[in-house]
Amino acid sequence: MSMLIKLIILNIKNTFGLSVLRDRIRKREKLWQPLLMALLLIYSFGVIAFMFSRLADGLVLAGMQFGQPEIAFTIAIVAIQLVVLIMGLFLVISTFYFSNDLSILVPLPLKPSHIFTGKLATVLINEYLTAAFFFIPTVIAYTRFAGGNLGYWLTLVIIFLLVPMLPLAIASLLALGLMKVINRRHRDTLMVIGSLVIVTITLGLNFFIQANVGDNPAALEELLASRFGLIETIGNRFPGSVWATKAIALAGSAEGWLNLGLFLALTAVSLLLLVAISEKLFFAGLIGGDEVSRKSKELSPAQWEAQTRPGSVFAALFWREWKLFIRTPIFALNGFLGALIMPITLIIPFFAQGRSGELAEMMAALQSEPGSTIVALVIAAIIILLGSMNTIASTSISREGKLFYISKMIPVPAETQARAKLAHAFVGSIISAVPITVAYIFFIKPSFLNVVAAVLIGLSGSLLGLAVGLYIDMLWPRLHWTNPQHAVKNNFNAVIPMFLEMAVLGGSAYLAYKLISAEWPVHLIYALFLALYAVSGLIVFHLTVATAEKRYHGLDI
Amino acid sequence: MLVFDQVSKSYKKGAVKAVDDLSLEVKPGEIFGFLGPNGAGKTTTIKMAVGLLRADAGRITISGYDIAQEPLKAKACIGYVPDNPDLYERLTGLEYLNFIADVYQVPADVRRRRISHMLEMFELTNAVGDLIQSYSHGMQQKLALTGAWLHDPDVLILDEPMVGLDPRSAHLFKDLMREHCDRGKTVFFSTHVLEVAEKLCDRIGIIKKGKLIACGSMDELRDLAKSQESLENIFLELTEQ
Repeated sequence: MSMLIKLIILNIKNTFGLSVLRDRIRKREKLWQPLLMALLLIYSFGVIAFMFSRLADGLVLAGMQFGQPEIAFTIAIVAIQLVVLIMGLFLVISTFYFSNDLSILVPLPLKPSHIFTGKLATVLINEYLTAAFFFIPTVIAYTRFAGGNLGYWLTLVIIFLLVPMLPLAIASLLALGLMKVINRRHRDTLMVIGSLVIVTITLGLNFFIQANVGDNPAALEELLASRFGLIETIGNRFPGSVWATKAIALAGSAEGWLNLGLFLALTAVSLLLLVAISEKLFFAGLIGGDEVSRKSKELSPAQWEAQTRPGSVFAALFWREWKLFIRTPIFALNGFLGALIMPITLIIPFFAQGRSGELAEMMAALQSEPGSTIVALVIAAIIILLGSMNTIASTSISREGKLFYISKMIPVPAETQARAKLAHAFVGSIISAVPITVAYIFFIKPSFLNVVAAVLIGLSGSLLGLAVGLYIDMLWPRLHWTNPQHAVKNNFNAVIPMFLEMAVLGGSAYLAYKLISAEWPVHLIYALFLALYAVSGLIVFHLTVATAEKRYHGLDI
Repeated sequence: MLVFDQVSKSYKKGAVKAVDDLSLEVKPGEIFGFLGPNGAGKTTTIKMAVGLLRADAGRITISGYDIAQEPLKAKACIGYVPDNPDLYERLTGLEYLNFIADVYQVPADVRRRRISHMLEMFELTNAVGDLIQSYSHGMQQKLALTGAWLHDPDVLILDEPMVGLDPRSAHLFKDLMREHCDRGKTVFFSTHVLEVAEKLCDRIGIIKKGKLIACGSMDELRDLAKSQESLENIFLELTEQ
């Protein structure tokens, strides 16, 4: 077996804990845990897949109206490419540069490109999971309406395998460049800033695409009339997405194979280029990257006094959580990136389409009843989702990793520790709510009542997700990781509260629809949601805290 | 002060006995050295004593508190340093020490005095404002020892405390242990450095495959073994039987 294949297998085993799982199966030890986790994941995947399948159905049906049902694939492929490019950037940086096992691999007589490719394989597997959420529902929807032969299925499999590779190659190239140039002294800060700049540029690109489509009726008609007009317009900024769509739409024909060949060639060239560049740049950005210089300066009496001031046990635990989270770039980025991106993506259409007549009409509808109530509730829903997306509570035990021994060693009740973790997570939810609230106030110009209602309902609704998240992480913490990213991104505990909140929001949306249709007074609707969320959240909050002692006690390390 | 009463711990559903019916009492004012080959059960014993692992059977008490029944009271009496001094890398040294002082509720003047004394002794005063990430292994070990000492615990439980210490720091640290026990406190530590155990410990316990095979002062161990020479010879003789 070649060294590269061995390295890939080693990395996959290490990243996904396959050896641990095999050991458990062999010993038949606590098998219910992975089984229950698998069931929860299947349920979670089902919820998301259902949502995407409805969307894909809609896209295929809409596309069929003007003879371009393949538009669903173009949009799915573009979405995969965008998500992989943005999220992949952080994942590759942490995997390539912050894995603990690199200190073992680097001194071995291995080629930099081999170590790099071994790590890249694990990131790629992760991205296939992301891609599946978009791709599989699209395949189901399209096949149901358009059918498909053997060539079609073969093409689908090849396209699915290829789609995440290209954006991942671009993200990896950006990461290699970024880590090569950034200064070691301020590496953490520069990494965060550099990554944010790249994300902003990517989203800016999205902005230009939307701006280009515009709402010129004649141009739109022309786009709809030609066979792949709309597909080419949407896909032209995303390399290969048009070829991939045509390969699927024309599967089995010569033109289909040609497009597949072009897409395959583009992906292959980008990967080969990446591997060649990694040979030169990978070690240059990696070696010595984790060395941190010391200032070695004696503290002034005032600093000494301030930094040894006594505080309460709760405050000490809270600040420990806060400092460790905010000072670990991977944790902080994972926690707050979504909160930053969400408002930007929502604002883009405002900039892209300008304040045309249609937009003014829409704004008027959003500022009057029932539109304004709906918008306030939607903002509350986004705040709730962002609260669970920041994963502060749902990974708070996992993030401690091997240092969890300190939490077990100190003479502090687990309840107090759980309270401090939830307080930290709640502050995180408040921070996550700031950008979207600012965007809401600035663009929609809502009434004071609506802003207060959106924020209060959103924050009280986030309590449930936080408490459940912490409970799950106390039950199955991922304490043995080699890369901090594993504690937050590859941790399924982080996903479950998100799906729970989605299910709660689904029910809430139905309730809101009924209440608004029945013309309930706005303040009563707000009060009902606030009471429902606050009461359920606080109950689960106290249950979680109450079981903390038992959970902590059960965690042997 | 530290009592193990018929303590057992096994892994793999009882297939591997890590600690087997261990009974042992470490008295106030005593430095107790815990020796044994790799994998003998030293770290498992220590982890059970500080509440990181649950014993399958038996009872461990610290200053009269059962670690399983009254864990908070027992933990308040312990200062612990693990075999690998992993600390919060993203905190500065002083932030870590102040965190420990806060959770053990050490009064302001006491914490300042102790931190200052220990940092000076370990020559860490200029580094304490830097992130722990920037510390060498030895510096982290010194910081972990400082943290364990901050609340003046009744029982210090240390897993391989000498690893990473430079000769000067090791010497000062041994003096500190002796001074701690002279005040009626207890030190229980594991080590592979037999010379240190021989010179420093009031009593020594040797564990092999989870069983305590020998326990006593150097003189008592000499009587137990045929060898009348160094602890190294006694250790080799007892563990190879």
